[in-house]
Amino acid sequence: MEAIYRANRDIICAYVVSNSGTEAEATDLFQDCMIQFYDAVKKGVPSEDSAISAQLYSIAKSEWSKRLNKKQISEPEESQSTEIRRDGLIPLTDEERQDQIREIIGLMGFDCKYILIECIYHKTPLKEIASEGNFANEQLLRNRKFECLKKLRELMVARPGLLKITESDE
Amino acid sequence: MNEEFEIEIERYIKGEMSSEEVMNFEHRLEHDPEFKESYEATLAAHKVVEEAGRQELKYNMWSYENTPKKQKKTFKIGKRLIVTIVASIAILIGMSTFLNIKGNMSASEVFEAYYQPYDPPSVIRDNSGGGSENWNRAAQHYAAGNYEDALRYFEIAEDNIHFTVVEFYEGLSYLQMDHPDYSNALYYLNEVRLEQSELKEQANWYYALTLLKDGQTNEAEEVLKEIARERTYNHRWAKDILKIDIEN
Repeated sequence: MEAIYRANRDIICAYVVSNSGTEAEATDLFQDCMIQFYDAVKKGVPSEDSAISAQLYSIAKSEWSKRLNKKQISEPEESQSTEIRRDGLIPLTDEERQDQIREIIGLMGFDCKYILIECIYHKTPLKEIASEGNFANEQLLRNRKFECLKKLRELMVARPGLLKITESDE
Repeated sequence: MNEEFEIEIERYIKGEMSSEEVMNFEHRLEHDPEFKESYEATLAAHKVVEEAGRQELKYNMWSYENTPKKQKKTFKIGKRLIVTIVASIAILIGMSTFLNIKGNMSASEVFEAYYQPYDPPSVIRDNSGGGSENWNRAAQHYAAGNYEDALRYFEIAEDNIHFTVVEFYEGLSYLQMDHPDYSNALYYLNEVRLEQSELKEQANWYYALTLLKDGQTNEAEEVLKEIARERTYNHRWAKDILKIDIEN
């Protein structure tokens, strides 16, 4: 991961900066592209014949174009989106959603955070997690995962905006 | 929510069901409101975890921005190439683990490669004209790199600053002085890591690095193992360090 990061960072950031982006925007975009790439690999999206760097570059170009468009139209819409929120439907902004996720995951405790992220996000097999962590066996880990998921769902009930997270999928 | 529901829902989300099972599942979703509600809540919880995973990944990527590249100097050329290939393969097969190749470094080199100064403390602004003067002076000296002066004021910092925050910066000041005082640094960082503090995890990380710098490699490894196991502050770096053969 680090090797891929270092090998591609400068090229992609240079592309963003030369297309009206700042250094900070470039780094942010590059990291998001790395994550998109990682997600695609996890899902088993068949990689084309092109090299990793070409795939990353292509993701970056399309993502940057989206962000530029969004930047151009975001200002006039800002007041409108605030009004929608006052209606009580609470569509969270991206930033609010990220904050709430950080908060809720922080409340889960280290064990739960670790188990859920490994199992659900990284899709690491339970057997592998059990052998790495403090779990006597796979079944205990399975039970713990169930408890953690239950706890997360309970915490989410107090944050109705997060229950709508599935609606914000691209 | 019961476990049976949950297993079924998860198999559906992961696409592990046969087409017949999918049909039954979707039929149930349409006709059983309680099941549907449970499904939607679980799906939302999965999305939250996925987002949290991305946040964590992004947080870890910032360490690549901050880690000096000189760290790689310690690998011989052949190994460097292997590291690159292994890392590429790791991502391709969806592994979240990183480098697996061991290199040899002295404890001091490890410290130099992984040590990053922590953000200076914030100056407290109040209009009442008092209350945080010593703390603020300490913070200003600390930010300017005058650690001896900072320490004089940290020691008499006001009570409105939590003692663990003061001790954390005292520990870091002893560590960063021109002539570092490792035993005092270890003392203060240890105090913080054993307390319930907002800086507990950070103190643990700097405590481990200070142990390394002080030549207490075995003790440092124990703390690093704890950080890696509990996935606390800088746990990925802790994992990386544990893969290195540290020469005493």
